[in-house]
Amino acid sequence: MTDHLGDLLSALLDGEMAPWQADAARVHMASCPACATELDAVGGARSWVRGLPPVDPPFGLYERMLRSRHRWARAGVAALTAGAAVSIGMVAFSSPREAPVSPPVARLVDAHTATASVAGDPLSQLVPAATPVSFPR
Amino acid sequence: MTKALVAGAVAAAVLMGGPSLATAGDDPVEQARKAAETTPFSGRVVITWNDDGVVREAQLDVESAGGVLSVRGTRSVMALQQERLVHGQAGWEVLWPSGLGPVGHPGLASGYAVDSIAGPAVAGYPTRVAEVRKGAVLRELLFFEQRSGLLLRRDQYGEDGDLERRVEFQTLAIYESAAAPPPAPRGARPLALRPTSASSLPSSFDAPGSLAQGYRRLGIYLRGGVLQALYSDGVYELSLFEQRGRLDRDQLPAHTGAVSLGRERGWSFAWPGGQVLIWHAGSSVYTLVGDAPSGDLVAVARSVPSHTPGSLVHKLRQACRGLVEAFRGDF
Repeated sequence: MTDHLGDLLSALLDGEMAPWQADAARVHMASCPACATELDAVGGARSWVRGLPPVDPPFGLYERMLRSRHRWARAGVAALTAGAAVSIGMVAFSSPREAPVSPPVARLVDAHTATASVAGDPLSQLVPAATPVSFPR
Repeated sequence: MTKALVAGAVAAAVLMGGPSLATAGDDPVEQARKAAETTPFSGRVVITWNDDGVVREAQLDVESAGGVLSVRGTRSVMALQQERLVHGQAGWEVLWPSGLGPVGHPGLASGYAVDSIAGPAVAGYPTRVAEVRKGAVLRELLFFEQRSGLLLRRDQYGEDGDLERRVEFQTLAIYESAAAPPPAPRGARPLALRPTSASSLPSSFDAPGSLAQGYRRLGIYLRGGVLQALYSDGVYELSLFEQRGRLDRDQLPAHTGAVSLGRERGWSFAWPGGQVLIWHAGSSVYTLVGDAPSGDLVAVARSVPSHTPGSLVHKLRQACRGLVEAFRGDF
């Protein structure tokens, strides 16, 4: 171990190093005043933090956090829905639609009666043609 | 009305030993057509029809002489041999040109049965009646004048057995000698109609050779950008009109009723001669016109194949448009 220990000091303090690694770290600190000093500083800071009294969170903190999360979730869903709707609309109208067709019903009915009167009895087929009804729109 | 129907009626008449409708082997409807064209007569015809539960009636004057059949109601219609003309706001117009030749008839579709019985007098003339049934349901009663073969009355019934339409002579005078024919119209506006065949149709159109309920195609005609295919099951005639585009539902006639056609929605309404059914499928708008019962029309409409481009993009676009229209309340 030739370099300084750095983050390994925290592992040493937490007992997370293998025994042989811990022994090697202590051998290094015996000959490295900088690492020994840093170990003392990190250990002191941890002890100071752990010595602080416990503090209760303000009333309603968790509820506010959850509500905020729901609001974001709702906003996200709304954004996704709006995006989907816009996408559907863009796909639906991305190309020119077929030309609108309004069947000329009266003329088509006339055409049919004329054709049917050639195929069938002319009298009974033509009588409706002389009785036109309007097809108001 | 087909020769099979006619032959059935004639055979039934012969079997029953009643007065013959016509010379053996003749088609009663064909004979009625000839009688309407060649027998001098005049009279008044009453037509009654069921308009969505409301019974309506109209009276018309008819006259035939010298090969000219004239029908005068709210407007005038004329038959000069094969030619058909109507007098509209712009004067006489040709509805069907001469020279196209006769329209063929298919055989009677399966399920029909025809009986011939002695009928009542109509407008003072004795008749024979052809009863046309489909299954057990009476569909038509045809009253033929015994001597001339003129069709004096025609009753059409719905699937429920209710009378849907009747055309009947109220008064009639059949003349022994030819009278002066009604004046033939002059300067009638011609009609842009072109008979065609299935093989020479533009790829955007389709006119199947047969449809549901035994309907078979009799002819295909192009009227401008509209394709007309005439079908018959031997009893009823139907015209299927096809136009490329999408249906402008805002322009549909008022008082239409919605009809489910499976995947599509259709709109139907009555006119004095039958029913009209309009729907949009694929890239086309279809209008089906005919005197068949509404159930037959719906079945036929459902059997019409639609032109639906197979590309995924098109299907996606159609699905998205369907969603948009659903949210707009179009359906």
